[in-house]
Amino acid sequence: MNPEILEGFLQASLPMSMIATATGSLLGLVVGMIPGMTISTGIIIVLPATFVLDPVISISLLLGLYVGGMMGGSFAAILLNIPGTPSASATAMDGYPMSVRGEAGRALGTAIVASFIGGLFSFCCLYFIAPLLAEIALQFRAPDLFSLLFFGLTIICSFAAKSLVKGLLSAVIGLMLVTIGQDPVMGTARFTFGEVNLMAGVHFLTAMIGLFAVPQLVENLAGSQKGQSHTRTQSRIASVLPDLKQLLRMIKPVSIGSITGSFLGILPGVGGPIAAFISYDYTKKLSKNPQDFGKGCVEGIAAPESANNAVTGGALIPMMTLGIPGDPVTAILIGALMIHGLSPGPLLFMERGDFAYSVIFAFFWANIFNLIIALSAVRLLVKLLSTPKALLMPTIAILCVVGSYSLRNNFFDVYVMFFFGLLGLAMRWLDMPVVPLLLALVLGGQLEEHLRVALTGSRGDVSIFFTSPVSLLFLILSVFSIFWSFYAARLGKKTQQMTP
Amino acid sequence: MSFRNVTAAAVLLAVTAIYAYLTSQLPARTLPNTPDPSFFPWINTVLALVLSGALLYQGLFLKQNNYPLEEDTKSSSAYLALAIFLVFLIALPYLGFILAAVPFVAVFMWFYGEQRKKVLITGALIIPVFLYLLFRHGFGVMLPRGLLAGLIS
Repeated sequence: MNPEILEGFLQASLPMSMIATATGSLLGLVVGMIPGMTISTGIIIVLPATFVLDPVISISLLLGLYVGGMMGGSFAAILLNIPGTPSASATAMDGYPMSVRGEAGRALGTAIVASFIGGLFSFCCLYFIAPLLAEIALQFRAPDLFSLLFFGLTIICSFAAKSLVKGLLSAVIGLMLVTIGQDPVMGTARFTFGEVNLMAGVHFLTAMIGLFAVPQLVENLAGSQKGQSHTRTQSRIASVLPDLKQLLRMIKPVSIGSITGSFLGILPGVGGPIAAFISYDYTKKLSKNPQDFGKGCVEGIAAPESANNAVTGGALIPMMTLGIPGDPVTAILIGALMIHGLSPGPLLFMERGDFAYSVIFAFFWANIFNLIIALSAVRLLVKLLSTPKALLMPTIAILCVVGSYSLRNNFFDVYVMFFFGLLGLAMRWLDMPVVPLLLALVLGGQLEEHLRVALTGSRGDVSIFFTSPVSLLFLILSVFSIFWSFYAARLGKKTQQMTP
Repeated sequence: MSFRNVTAAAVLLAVTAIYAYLTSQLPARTLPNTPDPSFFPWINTVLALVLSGALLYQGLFLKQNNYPLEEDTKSSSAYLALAIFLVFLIALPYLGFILAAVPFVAVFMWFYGEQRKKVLITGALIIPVFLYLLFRHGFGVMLPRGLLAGLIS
């Protein structure tokens, strides 16, 4: 066995790492369950606590939260018909009717087991595909890397389907912000106005806290004033563990969901909601009793739940091997790794193979803990659905401040966070998506660096991007990605109409 | 005409103009066959100009759905909450974490619908103190002590 695999397994299996994974899973389940809280916000809140932790422990905590959040979303969907996360929207279609029928426990059990199997399947994909992909990516040169990052940026289109111009403008604002600080090739100070704190540029985690958390605080404030200060669930939960008959009924939908979710997770920008709806749709089409779907059937929960949890492992593949985030959560994970001096990409497997494998095994443990915690504490967890926002939201506000301050123990970052909060609100008002800005902040620096290095190497000849086969391939894929994004968006709109 | 698109385009055109001016002021490097530090910002400028122009055109000449403003952005309480958040951030370095956070949490709890005085006071005291102890002593984040510097560790 490769010693790095063994080392990675041991690191991820250390008591502290396991405690972190379990804590992350628990927090994720809670965050995912609470309507109005997103997994991104949950990770942002926990992030400052990870700065002082060992990288393996940090990533174990965050991966636990990512995986737990995906599963937690289904709890609110089943019990309240309010998906805790967008990925759980499809689950509500059959989960809530089961809950109304008094089968909430059975529905939750199906969701938990299906999520676990989906997550485990995507772990296998991550374990076998990621190292191979990283080995291939090691051969890439500057033009290839530029085209690869450009390909990564095309996922912006999937967040900009409502208005392409606004989505692209959001990305350009991100690229403009990336140019603040020292330029990546020559070290020349740009747009710093003599401010020392700007020399290192805008830290994208600070930006992310502002862009995501501040608008969410405002949104929840409006919700509270409309009387939605907390949500109460009346559903009585009986036995959660699925019986043999139920497990047998889950085989086909879970297989469809796991394969679809893992594959779609690898594609940047597709994400959990689309994977869940596609799996639901396929399962319904292949079912002998399609008329039962939408009325509360086990298959209608198993397919989307296995799919959205399988997406998590799939999304980690491009993140770890190519350094490309497939969704906002993996973008935050990249930032978290960067704080620890680790740069996700092909070199991660070469230089820190042990760490790369510890991430993979932490993901495995996250799925295991998720299953254990969810099955054993489901009754307790659903009580948290009634958490009053009056306690939750001020805590989040304070944690946003602490999170941005703790990056460098500097108040400048706190003010930058607030500025980005205002920017996020303004963009919301102008109906502009913020995710393209975020992705541009993550990828922009490297994009500029590889572009300039490639052009320097070719003495300014742009044909270098078309003569290199790898670069050309990524440029073609970029075009394909743009078209796919629009197709997926149309599909998403279509499936949204199916949501109860 | 879409008021929001026109507003966005106008603001972005102004920002782009400032960005272009600042880009033109960047120092030039004379290394042969090497793009200047202003190379990438110029690409951004052109992209921003073209896209802002397109948005302006859309806003002025294309038939748009004028979506109603989101409730949360209309709410005056939301603006007030943001103003209080800003006051908290400004006061933080001077008053210290606990002294600044206690009234902030109390006001925010009230904004989020908590009316019971006992819960308000208890929450406003427990949340900041707990977070201070957790981050300062648990995670080593040097949260400012401010006016309480001599009293707390």
